[in-house]
Amino acid sequence: MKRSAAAVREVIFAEIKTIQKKAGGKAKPLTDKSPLFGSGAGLDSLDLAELIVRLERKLGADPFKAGRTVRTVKELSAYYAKHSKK
Amino acid sequence: MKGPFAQHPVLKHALGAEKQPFLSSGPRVWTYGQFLDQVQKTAAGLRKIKPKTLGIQQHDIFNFLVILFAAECAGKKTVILSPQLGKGDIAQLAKKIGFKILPHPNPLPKGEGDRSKKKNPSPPGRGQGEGVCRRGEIILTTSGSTGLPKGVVRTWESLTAAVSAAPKKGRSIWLLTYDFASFAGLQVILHALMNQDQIVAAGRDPVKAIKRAKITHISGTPSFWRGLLAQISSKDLPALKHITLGGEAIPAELLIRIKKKFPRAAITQIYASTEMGACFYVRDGKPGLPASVLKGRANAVQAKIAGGELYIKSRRAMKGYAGAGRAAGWFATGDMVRMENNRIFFAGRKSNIINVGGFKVYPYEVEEVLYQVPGILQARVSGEPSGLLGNLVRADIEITPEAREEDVQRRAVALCQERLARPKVPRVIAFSRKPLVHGSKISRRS
Repeated sequence: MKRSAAAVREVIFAEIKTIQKKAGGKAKPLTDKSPLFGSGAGLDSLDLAELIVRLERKLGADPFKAGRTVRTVKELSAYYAKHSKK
Repeated sequence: MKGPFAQHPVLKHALGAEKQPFLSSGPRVWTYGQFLDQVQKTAAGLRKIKPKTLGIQQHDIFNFLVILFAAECAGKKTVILSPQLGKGDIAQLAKKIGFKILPHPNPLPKGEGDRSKKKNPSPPGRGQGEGVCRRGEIILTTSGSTGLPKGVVRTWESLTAAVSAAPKKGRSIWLLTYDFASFAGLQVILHALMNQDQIVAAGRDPVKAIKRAKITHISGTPSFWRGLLAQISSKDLPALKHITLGGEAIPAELLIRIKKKFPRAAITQIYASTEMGACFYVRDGKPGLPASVLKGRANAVQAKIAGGELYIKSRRAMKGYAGAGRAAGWFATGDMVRMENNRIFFAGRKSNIINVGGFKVYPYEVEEVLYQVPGILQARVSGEPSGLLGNLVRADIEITPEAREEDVQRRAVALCQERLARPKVPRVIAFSRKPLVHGSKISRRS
């Protein structure tokens, strides 16, 4: 069964936190408006690529493979709410 | 017995050892006499069949060797097919090279202890000893670890060029760890045969084979040695005189571990390939090749580095790829290298480079770090497709039975983050319950 938008958002937040933790240092506070890169979620392109691989496994889609750009946590949640296959 | 083999470049060396053990596989043992006898009989049968080029695929090492030498003695060109090759691959190769798969041969005796009746033994006096063994061409197939195998045309002379035949007192007992139909496997077999040594086929359980025979020599890939060291208990360690490593890049950490376990053994690292044959032997115990191999224009084997890749020119090289004309000059090995302190180090295979957002990553350098993590038995690094960066580094890991996945994962990530540039750190780690080693090497074919 396809996940609800709220469930998708929860998965995304959990995965970002896992990656932040792996990278070491303090996990930055995360909101829907947080940009994925830099001062927001603090991810770099490698972290973001890893996040997408993880999300693709859990939710079944990759926005970059589909030629889309996602800049914030909100945009990511919106993409998966629409395109999630799992 | 002497007649047909007295001139044979390999088998003439076996004459006089007829009563000595030649080969054992599991509980079965064959003597040199039984082997030569069977080669002679089978050759007589093969002389009667029409096709000039025969494809040989056998799952039994004794049958394989008998047919291989018999086909050659019968003047046939032979195409050696690994038992691991599937029907599809063989059909493609047969189309390209043009050979007939040898129909199931006459049942061959299974060695001592086998009571099955021999069917169709060649009638005595007919066909046997007909002519002297001629030297034919032999086509080997590349390991196919990265794609479809290619046929590599060689002569018996080029295969035996690097083998020294000098029988000594006290026969060596070789553990054959390679696929017997591979170039490396054949080199071990030819070496043993030409020195009247004994070969013990490791099969799927090398530890069992080691317990059964008093092995003195082992030649194997780094993957093999890693597996053996993890499986064998200290009390079962054989008293090895000689250790050979080759077929894959050899990390320093593994050389140190082997030296510790076998302090009395001489260690040789071999750089060889199916195409180029045996090129370099390194006996100084250090990883990589000495830079001196780049000098010496008159040597049988010459080397140079261009664009980071190792090139070889060798008198022991193949004639060419089957169906692709004669190869000449420098051969691009596909091995990427770097020079440091007058030493040539292997970075990895050109075909395995992972492109992470434009950053080049060699699986080998990541694997070298992973192998320092306790609990990792085998590791294979490859690219995980990523829409954003093209690829991320992925590590498939096989752990030792006592290790825990969570611990290994945590340590692997921590050590890679400490030792490697960020793009090289594995972002996807998968634990494989199936062995990653197929044949004698890590399987890179996805």
